[in-house]
Amino acid sequence: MIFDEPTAALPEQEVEILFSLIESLKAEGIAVIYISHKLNEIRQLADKVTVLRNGKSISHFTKENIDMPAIVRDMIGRSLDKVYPVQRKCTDDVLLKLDNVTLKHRGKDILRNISLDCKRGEVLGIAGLLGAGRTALFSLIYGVFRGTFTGKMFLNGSPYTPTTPSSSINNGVVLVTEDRKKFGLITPANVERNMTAAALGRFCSNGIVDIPQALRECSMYVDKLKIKTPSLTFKIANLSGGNQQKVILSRFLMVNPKLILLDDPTRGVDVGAKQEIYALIHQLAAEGIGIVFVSSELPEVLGVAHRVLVLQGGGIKAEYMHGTTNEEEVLGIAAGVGA
Amino acid sequence: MNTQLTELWNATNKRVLFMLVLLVFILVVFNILSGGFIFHAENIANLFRQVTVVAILSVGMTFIIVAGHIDLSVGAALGMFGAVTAMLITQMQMDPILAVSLILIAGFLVGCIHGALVHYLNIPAFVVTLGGLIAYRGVTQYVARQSIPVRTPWIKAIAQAYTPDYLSYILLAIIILSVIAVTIINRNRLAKANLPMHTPGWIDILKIVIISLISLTIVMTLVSGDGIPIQAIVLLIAAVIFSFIAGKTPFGHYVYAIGGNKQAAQYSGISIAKNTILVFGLMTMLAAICGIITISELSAAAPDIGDLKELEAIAACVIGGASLMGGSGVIGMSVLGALIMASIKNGMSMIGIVAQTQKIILGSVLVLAVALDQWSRKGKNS
Repeated sequence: MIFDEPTAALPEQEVEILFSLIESLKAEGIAVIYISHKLNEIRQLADKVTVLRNGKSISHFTKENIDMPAIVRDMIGRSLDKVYPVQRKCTDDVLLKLDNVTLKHRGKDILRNISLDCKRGEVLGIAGLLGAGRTALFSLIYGVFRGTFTGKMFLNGSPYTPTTPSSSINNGVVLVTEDRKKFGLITPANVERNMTAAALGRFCSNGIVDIPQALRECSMYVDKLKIKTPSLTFKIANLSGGNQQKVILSRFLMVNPKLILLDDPTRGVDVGAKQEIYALIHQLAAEGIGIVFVSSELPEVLGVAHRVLVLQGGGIKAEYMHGTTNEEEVLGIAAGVGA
Repeated sequence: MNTQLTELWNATNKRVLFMLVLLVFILVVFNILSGGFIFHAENIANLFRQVTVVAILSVGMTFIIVAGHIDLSVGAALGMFGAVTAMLITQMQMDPILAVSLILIAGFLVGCIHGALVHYLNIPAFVVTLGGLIAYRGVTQYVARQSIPVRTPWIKAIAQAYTPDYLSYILLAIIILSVIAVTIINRNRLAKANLPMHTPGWIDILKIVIISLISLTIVMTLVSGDGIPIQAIVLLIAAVIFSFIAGKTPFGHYVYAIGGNKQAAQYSGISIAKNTILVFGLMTMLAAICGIITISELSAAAPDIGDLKELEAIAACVIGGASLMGGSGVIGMSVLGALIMASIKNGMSMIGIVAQTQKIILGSVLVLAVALDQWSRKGKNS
């Protein structure tokens, strides 16, 4: 039986169920091929490991001689010295503030009494399991939510009422969604059209689009984010997941945002590109942009963010500064057990 | 020499080349079968007159299909606006210029209503425009229950008159000079932005030469007859304006984005409401223009004018390669698709195939064209 990235959409609790299912398949004598870029899963499940890169098989390991750094090096073709970039100190200017915000939809409380703030230059991480309300929180701040909300929101100290993506973008707030196939990629279009989708107004004079200027701007982002594409007119559907994600990121960087909401930005992205995205997040924070960062991979949130909030059941249950907690503690709170 | 040929092959849009070759092939085959009548000036002029309405409708329909919708009402709308124009001018003695202006504005507004119903009430475009199809045909059949004659000279001239020779030459010069100018301007702007040229210089020159030769042949053939049909010029203007809108305005880019992925477009800050309403408004306005061309052709408004024209327009877009799922389609290609269908019809008439058989053949051609397209795409998809 062949599994291709089976845990991409599974909540943590169900991943364990899948693993025990795989163990019972093995016990029945069924051969299992398990494809994944999540190294902790490989370590847990594999009897033998083969590393592929660029269509070639690079190296083989067995359960006994698994060498994680070597696997990572073979996956991306170079050594990974540090997983997460060193953090710069962030400012004290509050960029985004939510004050006792409750979001209701169809009689249900989606978000409950949320109070948080994100400072200029800060990477604020939100940890929580699927269903905790992370995407709902983002859809609220970006103006694409369903339902009604009470409470106050502030952007740069002034009251902020998000109504549409367009008004959010005008206020300098952008959202990079978790499901790029559904909400991000304009599939039949090429890289250039995908990149300029939100910032087209910047390239217009007298109502006419200045295409060479747009192309030059796109080239700049291809270089800056190291996007691997044969040309700007290449169809985005043919790029790898990591490069597609970078194109969408470029789209929202092109509008010169002040606050970036990142929802699972490294989902379906390989190890090498993940590193580049972490470095980019800190580069943007160093430029004074506030970043709110949600991820279903706990180590990522804990490693990248200046500060982590734990979201559980629609409410914020804990707050940690970088380096003051670990995965078990956060997972416990996120799952609703423990203080 | 080999590398240059490879360069040329890579630079050509295969679909455009294929359709142009197909068009020429069709014309040549029917020319032989009909004993040489296809390339007569009179027949070429007829061909342009026969293709105009479907081609103009396909210009608007390309936008609609690219946006991810469909508009089934355009034939009936054409009829309704044509009939009402005739009624206003002939029966109510309204000034023709006022009547035409009002009709064009009404066409745009009716289209906007389609767009608003589709967007705000979430009714599929198929349903909204199907209702329009039925209702507007009813209006046409009532208003034109007895054929209304149209006597205004300038209106009759649109479909019945030709350009005098000097105007034909001026038009030819404008076409050739514009193509050269656009190519030079585009290359200059790419150079100023330090971007690589899409195609090497000699290929651009080759393109200019080919387009000039084709335009020259067509215009000279027409001039040797009665001249260029005025409605063909209306088609040319409509195609050029809308191609410009599609490629060079924000609205055009937004329509392709919305059709490609509506939610992604929305999350990028694009207004779905404004652009949807505008797309439908423009389509029905073009239908109104075609209504006026049709009553000009017949010098009258009849109850069945425009019947089934929407289906021919959709067929033209599909043959031209527009995807019915939205997000891709080129206006020039839809016009080429309309030309291909019209040349097949024209050829069949010349060799005496009856209308019923023509319909069978045209239906088969449409399915064949899409089958060919799907087969060629199969190789590209993994």
